[in-house]
Amino acid sequence: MLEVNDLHVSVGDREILKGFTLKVAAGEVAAIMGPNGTGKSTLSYVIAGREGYTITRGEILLNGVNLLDLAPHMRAANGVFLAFQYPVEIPGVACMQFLKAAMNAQRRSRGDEEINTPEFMKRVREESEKLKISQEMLRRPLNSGFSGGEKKRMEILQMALLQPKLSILDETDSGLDIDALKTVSEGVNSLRNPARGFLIITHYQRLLDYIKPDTVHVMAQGRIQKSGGAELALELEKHGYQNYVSNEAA
Amino acid sequence: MRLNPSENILPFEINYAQASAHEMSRERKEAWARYSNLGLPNHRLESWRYTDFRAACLKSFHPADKAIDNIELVREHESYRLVLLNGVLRHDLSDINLMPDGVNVDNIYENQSNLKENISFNTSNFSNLIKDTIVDLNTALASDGFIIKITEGVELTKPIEILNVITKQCSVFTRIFVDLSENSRINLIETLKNNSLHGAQVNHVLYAKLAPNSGLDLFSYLSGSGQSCTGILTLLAELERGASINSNVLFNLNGFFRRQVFAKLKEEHANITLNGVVLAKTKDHIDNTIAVEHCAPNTMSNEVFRYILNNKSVGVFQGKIIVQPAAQKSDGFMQSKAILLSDLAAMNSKPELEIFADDVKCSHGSTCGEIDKEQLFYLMSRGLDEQEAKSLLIEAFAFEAFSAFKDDKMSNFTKNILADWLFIKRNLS
Repeated sequence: MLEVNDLHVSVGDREILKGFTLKVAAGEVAAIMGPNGTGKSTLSYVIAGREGYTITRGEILLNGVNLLDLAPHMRAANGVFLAFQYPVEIPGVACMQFLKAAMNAQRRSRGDEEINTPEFMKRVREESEKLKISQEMLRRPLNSGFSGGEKKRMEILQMALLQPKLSILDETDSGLDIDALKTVSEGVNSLRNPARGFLIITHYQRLLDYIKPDTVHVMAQGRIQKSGGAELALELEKHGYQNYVSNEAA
Repeated sequence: MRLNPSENILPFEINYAQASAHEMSRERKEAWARYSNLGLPNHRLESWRYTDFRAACLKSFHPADKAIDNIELVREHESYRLVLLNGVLRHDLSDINLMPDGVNVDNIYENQSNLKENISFNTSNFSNLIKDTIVDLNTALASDGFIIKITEGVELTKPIEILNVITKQCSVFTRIFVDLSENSRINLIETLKNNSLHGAQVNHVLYAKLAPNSGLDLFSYLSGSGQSCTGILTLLAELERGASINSNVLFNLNGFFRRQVFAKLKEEHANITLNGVVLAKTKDHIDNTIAVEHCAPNTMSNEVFRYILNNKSVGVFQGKIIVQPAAQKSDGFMQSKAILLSDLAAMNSKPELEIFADDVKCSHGSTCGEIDKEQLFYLMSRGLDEQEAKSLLIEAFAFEAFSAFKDDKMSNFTKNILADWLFIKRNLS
């Protein structure tokens, strides 16, 4: 599914990712945990194709396709989805208009037929109910004036509608209260299937109580320092990241 | 002082020579005298510093000959249509005789050479706001136009459309006077269509006088497939108690153009909304200049403009809100935002507040920049290609200015124009 090999990424003169390597299998939920400023968000942006990063070495393969060769919209069409840590507000673009435009754009890029309106409405209704998103919210401009929880639920709704192969959740738990965290986690869990991979980026164990990871990777100073199973997250919760940071510094 | 010292001939002198072959009214003679004294406004006047009109009119065009050209005009709106072709009324294409009860339309030029002796040509009420000769020039030279009088209490649902079409190189001076009696309400569509392939010069004035509790919904659309059109569209508005104007303007033409609005909120609870969108394609220069004077308490003005500037185009927004000492509890809001789609495009924005009352709410804002990169990436990360994402963002940006549209038909009409513009732009880039 996803293979990141020896990835080196800089912003300006500063190297952020320093030989990052990771594999996520189809059906796997991989969690990446690490302290602030270690390059977790950079990793998610680089996979999705945001401007402003210089890739000096390495490759990112999704089912054998090198994503680094593709523009962001073609990465999306190939199945990449990034749930943003800070979803962008777009005043003037209605949620429904955006959702339909996104679904159809991906279908066109893949050479599929566009979705018809009744089918689209039905899908949106089904998925938004699961996420407790009201029709009123869907009539509003995209993310404009949404609360933190509403924004995150809107990200998961998009994920549900777009059915990506690889979902990256960048600190989806930040800014969520317990109830919203549960709703969002349930939404994510319902999308788990043997063909879909997840990369869950978080600081805290808390989110992983709701979304059980198959693998946990500790990231510090631009690369993976240690990999293990779900138990590794619990150990981190107990001892913090100190060991990994000081190892690297020494 | 005469501002055209280097020129022997005053621009548009030929037009005046033709017009004055007939007897002229006092207003027209006086207006011409003021114009010939000062000439066309140039960049040395503060309110014309970004739009040097004199430089743009170095060569003035002749009025169109009176030959009756055959022309097919598609009806774009379901309306009572009044057609001015190259500045001359076309009875055969107009619905003058089909006007409903309570709507009285007269041609300003009916009694031969003279403009009717009508208040519509006395613009002295605006003398504290107007500092140049553009309206004078129109008063002196208006070759055709209408006086539209709406009877008390009449509310029209079907719009009245003034269609100003230009098909050849000429100068066009047209004048519309709309007189709304108490409690009357109309929709007015003002369309300028320049299809001249060899340029055109336009000076069009719409003078709207609103009696208490009357309402005017105005949509002004400047368009056409023709080459560079140099012109000025002026809206003069006087609003009495509780009267309201909701004006939306859309620019989609090639050329050097200014639309200026001088509005007086004369009595309590009068309110005016002036919104606009500028779509500039190549080397266009588009200027919106507004002066709203709050003369009475509890008056309200609201202005929202959006500029989308491509290639080497230039946008200008000048908005002035004047609050007179008597106009306590007035509310004035003004906002202009521009998206520059090229490094060569430029925007000039100058908001001005002159507040002489102490209990008022006035604000203004102005921004200018590229398309927001974060928004663009967000949309692209969901699968929209760059052009589609940009189009969606531009459309959303433009429609912030048209949120006040009351009429769905007009709203859809503008949406389609915008979609066409974006489509053409996409295929060119």
